[in-house]
Amino acid sequence: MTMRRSALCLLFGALLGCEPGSEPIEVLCGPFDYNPESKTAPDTEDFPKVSAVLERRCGTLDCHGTLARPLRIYGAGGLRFFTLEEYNDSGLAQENGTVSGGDGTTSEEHEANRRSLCGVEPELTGQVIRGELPPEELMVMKKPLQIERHKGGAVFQTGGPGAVCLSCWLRGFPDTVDCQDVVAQCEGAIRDNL
Amino acid sequence: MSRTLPALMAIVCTALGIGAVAACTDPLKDRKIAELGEEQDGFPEGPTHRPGQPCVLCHSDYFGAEPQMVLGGTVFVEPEEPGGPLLGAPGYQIRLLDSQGRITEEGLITTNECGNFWVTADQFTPAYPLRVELYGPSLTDADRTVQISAMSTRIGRDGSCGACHAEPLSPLSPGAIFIPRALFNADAVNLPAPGDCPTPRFRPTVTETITQ
Repeated sequence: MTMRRSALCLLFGALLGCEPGSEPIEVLCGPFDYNPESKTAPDTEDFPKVSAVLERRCGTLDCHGTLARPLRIYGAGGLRFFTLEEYNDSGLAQENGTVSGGDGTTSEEHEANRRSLCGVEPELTGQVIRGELPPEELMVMKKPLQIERHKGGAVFQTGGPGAVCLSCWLRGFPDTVDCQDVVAQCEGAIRDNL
Repeated sequence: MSRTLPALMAIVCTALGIGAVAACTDPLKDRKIAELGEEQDGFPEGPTHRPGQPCVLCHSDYFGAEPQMVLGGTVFVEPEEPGGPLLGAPGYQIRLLDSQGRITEEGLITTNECGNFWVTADQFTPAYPLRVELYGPSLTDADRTVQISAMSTRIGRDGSCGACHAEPLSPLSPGAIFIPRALFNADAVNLPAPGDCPTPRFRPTVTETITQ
């Protein structure tokens, strides 16, 4: 902890919500050169399965598949991860398949979605990964479960495939009963089950 | 919808006083409405106006245009050549299925002579997300209605088809809603003659140039 932060905590501890002497919480979204061996950030290898759920349930162009909204979600059927040239030249985007409904979701889009998900509440996400908080404490779980107000309504049901898929990923796919069939849960959340 | 949208918005908001202040204070919506421009000459407001544009922006309790819609859009026939003129597809049908498994009371909603279709708030209050399917005459038997296509994604919250489906195809838009030429039964449909319908105008897919 820096001297400045310590001093602020001593002076305004109650107001700042920090305890004197506490360490700042590590931000665990991971850098772009994230090392999967470190286990300090949400898993990337299996994230495409989770990303597919987010793309399907959250990333439509009228919801989180838009540049204007937090928790931006990219995907083949929605907003594309485009270059500046592709944004300003739709012909180039069409040539490259970087159009909504074009080529499949790319690894760059998966990574952008992972960081987007983690970046909503990076400190709390880190605590979830370390097992210090249940995933349901995160806004990315509370909103789709409509525990917290969500303009898009209830996108997941408690215990449903979408919620299980995301929750298990956030916890690093633990060897627990609810996460045993997590791949099937993720795939189930993608299927049309309106 | 008025010919001079921005001016009408200002008048309505001023005239209605405090009540309207609450209803006309969303600068993002106001900007989107203003970007739609005025009615085209020879095509006053009505069921065939503004093909391709996001209907619910104005046909909503925010702007107050009647009828108030929960969903609206335009179906076109794929041009014979890329970039060719866009013609509305009359007589095609849309089926909505909401997340509670309900469909509109009428079942299928039919596009009008310029390809426009809509569902009013009185007809249906859907629970999002919505699945949308497109139906039309079979290629081999014009009297038989078959499914032409289904949206690969769902409508999450915006009933304006034109809010997402805009030309050109881009990283931010899947393009207009088309009946593919390969599935279009030209003998079964009376396409509008050029000039019978307004020229389609879409919401801007790129509203401003991004610079770095």
